[in-house]
Parts: sequence; C-alpha cells; structure tokens
Amino acid sequence: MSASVVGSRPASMRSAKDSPRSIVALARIEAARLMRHPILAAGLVCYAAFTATFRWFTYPDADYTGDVSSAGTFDWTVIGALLVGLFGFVAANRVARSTDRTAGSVDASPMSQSRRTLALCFACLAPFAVTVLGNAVILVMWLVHPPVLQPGWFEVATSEKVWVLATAALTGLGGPVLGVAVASWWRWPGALAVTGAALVVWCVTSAGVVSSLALRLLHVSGPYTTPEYSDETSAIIWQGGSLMWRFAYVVGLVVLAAIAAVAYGTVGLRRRRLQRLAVAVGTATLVAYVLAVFVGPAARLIAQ
Amino acid sequence: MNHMTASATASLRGVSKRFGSAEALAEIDLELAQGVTGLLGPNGAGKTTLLRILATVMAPTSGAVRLLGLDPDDLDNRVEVRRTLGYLPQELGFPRGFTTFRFVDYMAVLKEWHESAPRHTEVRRVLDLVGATPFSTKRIRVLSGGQRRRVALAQALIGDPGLLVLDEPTTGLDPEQRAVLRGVLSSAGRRSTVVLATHQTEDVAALCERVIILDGGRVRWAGRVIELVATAVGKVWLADLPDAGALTSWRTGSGRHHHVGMQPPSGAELVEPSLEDAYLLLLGRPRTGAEIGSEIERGVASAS
Repeated sequence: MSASVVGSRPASMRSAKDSPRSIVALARIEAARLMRHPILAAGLVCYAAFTATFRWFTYPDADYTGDVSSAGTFDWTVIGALLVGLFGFVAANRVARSTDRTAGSVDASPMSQSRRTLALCFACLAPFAVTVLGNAVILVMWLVHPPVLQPGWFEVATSEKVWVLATAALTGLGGPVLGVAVASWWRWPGALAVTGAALVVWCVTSAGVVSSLALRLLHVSGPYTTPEYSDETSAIIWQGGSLMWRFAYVVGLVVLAAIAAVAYGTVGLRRRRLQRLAVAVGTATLVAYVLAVFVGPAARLIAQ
Repeated sequence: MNHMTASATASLRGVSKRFGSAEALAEIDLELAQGVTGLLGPNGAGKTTLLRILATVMAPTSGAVRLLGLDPDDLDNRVEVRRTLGYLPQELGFPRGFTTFRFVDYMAVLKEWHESAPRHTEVRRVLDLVGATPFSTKRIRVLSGGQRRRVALAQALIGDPGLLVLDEPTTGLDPEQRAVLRGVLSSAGRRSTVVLATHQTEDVAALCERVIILDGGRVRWAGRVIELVATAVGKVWLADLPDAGALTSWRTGSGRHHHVGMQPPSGAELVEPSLEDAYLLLLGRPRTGAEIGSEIERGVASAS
C-alpha cells in the first residue's frame, strides 16, 4: 500500500455533454461482460459451430439425395433464437442484476440508472451482430449453393427469404433487451424463469398453422416464429402475410422492451418523455402488426 | 436559501430521516469543510443514514442539504455533485467475475471517465494508493476481506473527489494497512472534504481534525477532536483495584485498572484521556455487550 500523495485531479470529461460518450464507453464494457457471460458464451460457441457446419447437415447443393421433405427451409433459424435469443435473454438479465450488490457506490455515480440501462441495451447489439452475421453467412451460402431439393425453395421469393432471415436475426437483440427489461422491473425470485417460460410458450404457440383469423393473429404476434408449417402429411404451408411488416412489428417490440427497461427509475419530465415515446412506438408497432396480418399474400402450399 | 458558510463543502439544516415510525436522524444541523471529519456513534445512531444522505443516494424526509454549493434535490445538481463525489458504502458487494482492475475500471466509467487511456492510468493510480496493485489481475471473489475493502476504497478515490464519504473504511484491514490508509486519507483531506464513519476511535484520533458524535439520530458533539478529548481531562484514572462506580472500567495489560468516570477511585492516578474515554463520557454509558458483540461479528464477517 502506498501512502503517496493523491495525484492532482485529472482534467477531464466532466460536463453533461460527455454523457453520450460515457454511455458508449459503458456499453462497450457491458457488451464484453454480456458476451463473456457463461450462458451466452456457450450459446454463441454452439451457434458459431452450427453456422460453420450448416452446409454439411442441411441442404446445400443439388447432389443431396436424402429425404428432406419433413423440414422447412427456415426451421434452422430456431437455433439462433434459442442459442442467442433465449440464452441472451438469461445472460443479459443476470448481467443487469449483477450490479445490485454494488448498489451503494453505483447509485452515487453520475451515471443514472436509466443511462446505465441504456448502455446495457446498446450492449445487446453485440449478440445481435452475431445473429445478423450468422444469417448473412447462411444467406450467402444459399445464394452460392441453392438448396434446390429443399421443398418449396423455388416457391418463396428472395425478398421473402431476406425478410424472414432479418426477422429471425432480431431474436439476438430482442431476447437480451427483454432480459434487461425484466431485470429492471421484475426483481422477484423466479421472474426470469417465469418470463422466459412465457416467452417460449408464446413462440411455440404462434408457430402453429394459420387456419383462422385468430390463429393468424397469434402467429404474427410471436416474437419468433417460422413462416412455414409442416402438417402430418408432410405438406409444407407458407403462412403468408406481410413479412416486411412483421419485421417492423418485431422491431417495435424490441424498441418497446428497451423503452420499458430505460424507463425504470425515471421521474418527472424524463418519465413523461419516455411515456410519450412508448405510446408513439406502441402505436407504430400495432399498425405494423395489423399490416402484417392483413397485407401480403395468403397462406399457400409450397411443397407436398 | 443558502445556509452554507464560505468554507463549508456540505451543509445540513434541520435534516431528519424517518423509516416508517423509526426516526434515524432528528433535526440534524451540520457543516462540513475541507479536511477529515470523523463520525462516531453507537450502532443505530444514524451514521450510515447520514452518510447515505451526503452521498446523494438517500433523500432526507425533511430539512435542507447543500453539497458543494448545490441542492442535490434537483436532478441536474445531484448529477453534478456526484461528478466530484467518492462514496464507500458500509457493505459493498461486487459483481461476479470481475477482476480488481476491471471492477475499478467499471466504476471509473460510471464516473464518466470515458477515454480508456486516462481512465486506465487513473485506475492504476488509485489501486496503487490503496496497495491493490499486486492483486489487480485477480478475481475479486478470491480476495480476502481486507483486500476487498481496499478495492472498494479504491473506487471511492477515483478522480480525487472533492467530497469523500467513507463508511467504516478500515473494517477488515490489518494494523499496517490501516496505518498506510491513514496516510492516504489525510493526504486526501488536504484538498477534499473527507467524512468517515467508524467505530475505531483511534482512527479518528489519528486522522481527524473534527469529529461528529451521533446518538439516537441526534448530534451529541460536533467540533474539534482535541476539544472533545479535553472534556475528559481529570476524569480518567489508573488504579490498582476495580471501581464499580466508574462509568466503565477494565483491567489493562499492566495489571492496573483503567477507570473512566466522574469520581476518582481511591489511590487512583490521573492519566491523559483518549478520544475513546471522551466519547464514553459524552455518551454517558459504555457500549453494551450486544453492541460489542455485533461489532466483532461484523468485523469477522468483513474479514472473511
């Protein structure tokens, strides 16, 4: 231990204008913490292994002669939703709660809780980048080696494929951001398990066949779902609807989760601003949802 | 209305804090200026509550607080105060997985040190000040209680704060570490206002120019240490036999009995009083067995 004289106060960084730079600096550190969290790190390693070997265990080229009729083209996107989205949900929640133990000194810092949470939401862009990259790699792989024997491959437009992959990639952002929001608002024991289970149930139930308006509403509402449905006769049904508007709807859900997370602990003008923003984004999300349901092609059989 | 005197860094006027029906602080009036001020008092006296108010992490129920000339009740002012505030809470937990350096670096980011090069230099400086450099790369979970306390202190020293609020900074430190820490704090006190709560009267005697004694949420003494000690002159004796009439009495290592009280026992020899003697005389009662037991327990817990 040194008893040397305390150094002179460094000239720095002490104006309110520096806040954005501080948030960026904190977001970098939080991103590293998030990506190193054991649960997400394990998910990322598995997801990377899956992406790297995708070509060999799915339908990469015309030489494939196996029975491929039982699986949809986009079923594999559940891997990213699970390993990055769901695992990221848990990891981000744990990272957000980790500073609870340090509350005394953290609360006495000039970075308010809402700004710390905002930084953590930005940090969630790191796992999102992974799912974007993973889906982009597979899209390129498909363009180079089209899975020509994949049922319905030629029945789905390229733009539809891109929207499906883009929406699936959002799980890498939405899961972690939702984890942060849950950490902000629900601190009771088991909150993470209950909301995680609810999220999974929502996604699973929304993956069913669209045979009525009610089921279409449920299908489109899911934060993650595949656009195909394979029934007991192995027919593959393209669920239809506007994939572009569905993408916009899921983006709206992610932004709403981020606003909810950041709003925790705010008061006064800042709270009112966030409330107004939430109403605006919520309205836009609802509009996107309605358009996703009612605009776009109807459900169709793409493979028998 | 600004009640502060020109030299005061912190000013409290009629500050009260209630937790339900319990009154932790009752109509406190205080002024704190540059230098090291000790805060003494029995358990439950309101020391931690007072420090939390000074650290802006708790608002008083009533009364006026001004810190560094600003009213922390206003959000912008509060942030401004926090930019030049260092706070060591009584019990600081640490997020899992952090090394010493990473944790202090994280806290530096929260204090808006967004540029990595000067931030890392500052982190190394404060780690060196508290003697934490040898274990800067170790994970905090493997550190001893005393080492963790030094890490916690290091984060409070980031940026050489103008107001340093320390709740029992020497808990868990060995005598050598405490002695060196006194050097660090006395050095800080030459430029900053340092307030430290402790049960170690010898730390206050060695470090502090002023002392505040709280009891039952009320200020029993606020003034210079030597003036408090002077109040005990003529009331502390060494005698060969125990004295049941003394306020407190114990057998010393030399075999003689140290008496603190208003009346001299027979055959007693008047001795120089210590701050502890004055403190006991001021409160009018020795610490109870339960209080002492509680302090020992907390010391053991901290050390482990």
